Amino acid sequence: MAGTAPGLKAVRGSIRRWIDGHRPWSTLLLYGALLVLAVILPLLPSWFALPTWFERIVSGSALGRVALFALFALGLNVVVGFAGLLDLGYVAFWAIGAYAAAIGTGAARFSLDYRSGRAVGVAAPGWHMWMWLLLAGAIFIAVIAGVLLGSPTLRLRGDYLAIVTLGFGEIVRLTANNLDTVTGGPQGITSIPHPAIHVASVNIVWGVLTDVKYYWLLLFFVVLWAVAISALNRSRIGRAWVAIREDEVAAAAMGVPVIRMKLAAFAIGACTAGVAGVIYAEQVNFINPPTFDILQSILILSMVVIGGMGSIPGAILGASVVVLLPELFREFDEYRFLVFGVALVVVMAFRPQGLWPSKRRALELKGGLAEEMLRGKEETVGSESA
Amino acid sequence: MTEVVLEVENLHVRYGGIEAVKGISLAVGEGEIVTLIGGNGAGKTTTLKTISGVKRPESGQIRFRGQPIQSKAAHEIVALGVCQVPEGRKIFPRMTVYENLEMGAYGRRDGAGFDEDFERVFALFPVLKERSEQPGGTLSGGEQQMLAIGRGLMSRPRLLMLDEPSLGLAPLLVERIYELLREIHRQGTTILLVEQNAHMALNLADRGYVLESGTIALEDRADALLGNDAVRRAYLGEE
Amino acid sequence: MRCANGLIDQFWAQTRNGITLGAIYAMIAIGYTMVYGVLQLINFAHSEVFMVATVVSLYAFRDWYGVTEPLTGGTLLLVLLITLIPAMIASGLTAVAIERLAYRPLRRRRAPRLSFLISAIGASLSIQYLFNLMDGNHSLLFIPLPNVLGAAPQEIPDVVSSKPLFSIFGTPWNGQQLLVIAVAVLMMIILDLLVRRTKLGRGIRAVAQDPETASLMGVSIDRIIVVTFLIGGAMAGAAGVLYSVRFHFTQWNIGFLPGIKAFTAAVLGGIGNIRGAMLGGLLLGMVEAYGVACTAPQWADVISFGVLVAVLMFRPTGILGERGVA
Repeated sequence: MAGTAPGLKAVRGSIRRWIDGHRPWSTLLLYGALLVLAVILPLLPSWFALPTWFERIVSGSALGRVALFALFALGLNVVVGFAGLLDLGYVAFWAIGAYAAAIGTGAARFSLDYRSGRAVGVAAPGWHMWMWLLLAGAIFIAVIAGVLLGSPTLRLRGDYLAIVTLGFGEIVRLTANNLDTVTGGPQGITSIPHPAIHVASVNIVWGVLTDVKYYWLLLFFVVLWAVAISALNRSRIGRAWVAIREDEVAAAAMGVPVIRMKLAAFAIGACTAGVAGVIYAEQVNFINPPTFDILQSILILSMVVIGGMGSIPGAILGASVVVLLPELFREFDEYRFLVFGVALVVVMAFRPQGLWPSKRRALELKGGLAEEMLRGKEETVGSESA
Repeated sequence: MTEVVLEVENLHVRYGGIEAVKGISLAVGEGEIVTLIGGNGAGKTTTLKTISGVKRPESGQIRFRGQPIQSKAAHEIVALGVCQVPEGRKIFPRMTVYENLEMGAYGRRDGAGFDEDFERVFALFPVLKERSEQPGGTLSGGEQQMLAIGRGLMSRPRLLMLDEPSLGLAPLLVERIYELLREIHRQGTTILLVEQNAHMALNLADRGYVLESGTIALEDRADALLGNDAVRRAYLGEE
Repeated sequence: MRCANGLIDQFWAQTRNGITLGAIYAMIAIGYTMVYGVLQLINFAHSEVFMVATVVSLYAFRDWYGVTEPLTGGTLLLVLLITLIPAMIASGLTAVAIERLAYRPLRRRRAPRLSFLISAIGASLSIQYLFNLMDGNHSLLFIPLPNVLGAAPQEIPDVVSSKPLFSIFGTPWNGQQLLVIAVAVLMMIILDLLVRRTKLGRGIRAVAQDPETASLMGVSIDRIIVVTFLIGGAMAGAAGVLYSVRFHFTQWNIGFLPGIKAFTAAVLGGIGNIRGAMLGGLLLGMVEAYGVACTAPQWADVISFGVLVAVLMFRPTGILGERGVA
């Protein structure tokens, strides 16, 4: 932010000093205020007259997508930002969660009638309460998938891991496409039931026209995840991730169980995508393989990178930017992949720490001499100063 | 002193987070053999690498024949006639001996002097001629050192810088390498020699600098340093 | 059983298909392996370098030379030559541009490896969508983009007849298949000589084996890196022309699958190893072809990805082993 006016800089400086002097109260206050704002955002249009562009971005559907992708970005941030593993097949876990939901609710009408050989399917009444059980099931399945993919591959060098995960993502999508007896093939699965809560006198039902309710549901998970992940990051596991990022060999020598810690990051990322995948499937009622192509993985990656790798508020901010920019500028929609592609290159070249950086990670990502010292020649690529 | 070939003035270099060289000044005159001696981590190798352009200095000046070179890239410095024979020999293991020697002449454009230089190197190190089609990685340690020096000579350097040519070699081989260095010097090459083996280096050199934790602790004529009590205790292993 | 029967029935036909496909993979794989050799970096944007050449072929065959029916003899050779040259130049320059914009700033800063991968992904995505948007109806920063490709696939005219020329073991071969193999073999021989016999090749190998010492020998590392991207890009460019001759269409995202398969080939042969990339390409092409015979065509990509995952997991150093470019 080189071009900031000096006055603004002074104001920002004083705010920063105040925040630094009053941690953790100031932080809590800040996040509390942001949370309240996030909750009431979709209600604003009914309270005030707002410009249309603002109404567009606080509509339930736009916010719902922000929250959905924020959840994905939080999960991928654990993998990429905390553990430093580039996962290009993250969408696979989204697909696994979504298909788990679709099949688990019985919406996938794969043949139960073996004699006729025709898809008969089961009706899916009264499945609503199962949504919560499904969520647990999907987490379980996604974590299993994450561990299955991770345990053999996490020993690989970083760039190989990126390719393997990319291959894995494609395998999942192509399998969903080709295995039509289970997944419905290219036609996908339709009429996945919406979730509901019926406990005592509480009755909350999600449906087709309840975008705002879905937003709150997703927001709940975003907050839950943000809190849980940040606690995790401050724990011993988080410190192990730092050590692995800085020097894997040294970390292993100091007794950090490198593979297990990477696996943990992978599993957490997978279960996050699984949860988001379930809610996604139930919200849109319909899933098919093209949704889960590599571009989604890259889109989520750009959220993490633009927001700031290793930064939890960064991941949420990144998701908001990437989702809302096309919402603000409708014409922008066609250009978004071009713009976010360029953004990845530009951010890496000029602001590798992202928009809302984590202090620790910023130091590492800027690279330079300390890096050379810590990692030796192997980790830096083709260095010739001129 | 005759004409100054290399001049280093108040050189500071950081290596990682640490300041490895803290204000070194030295000079090498035409036709001299100058040695830098000192213990591990004294900053000898960093100094050489900075002169040859592999490392960037934090501050200070390096002049070669009066021309500042501290901001030039390594390959440009080689083209001016400064050649470093790196520590640990650094032979290209999957190239033949012949190709390794060709690499030494990489920056040169003149075709004619090429064959002449091969003859000169092969005359100095006949063993390299015998092995010229063998991959560099299959040579013994002593042969690799000879190849490294021969490769350095192929660039026709005006200043040959050697980093620990005796490292890891048996005493007899060290003697042999030093005889060859003397011969190379007699043929008219100026030499800057970095060594931990202070005894060998000071016996060969005209002048010497003693480096201690990034600064020059002593500088003198080589025979004077050989006679200096502090040097004898610290670097020549004498009580 | 279906598998065994399929294999027996189609063995020679699939061998032919495998070799043809493998030759194309091999040529793309060379770019991955050479860049890896000098930079220890996977150039994820390499698939776009390939794509650019298919677009050049589209223009060359369809517009510049107005090919409407398959050519033969001298005309064919001439048209191929004056298509290969601009295609290889365009691809080579694309590769160099990627190096300049996406990698060099990070190299200067000695950024961590993760940054390079992300930058590469970004470069790949932006090139793809730049071509996607170049349909004459879009503009960028108020500058109208030319009509180059657009979102829809474009048909490339047949330059070489697909009529069978002769049979081996009852399997017909046509000119397209022969041409792919002939050009690929020729290109690889030239490349092999270049790397092994020339001063430039020695420079590339020296940087791959030990960059610091290479620079002490007077090698400009930046220059070698640029040349490596240029050569690897040009090979992918030739592959793009061959692909166009064989498969007759192009699209903005056409690079993705051949790209990742070529990468698989490079790893299969031992990344950094040029002859390994050639061998790996051929092998992967065959595995894919036999796999298709064994299952069904829609599983071809799954098979390749399966090979990729298996190689990386069980033999990440490849068949010929990882080495510098040699």
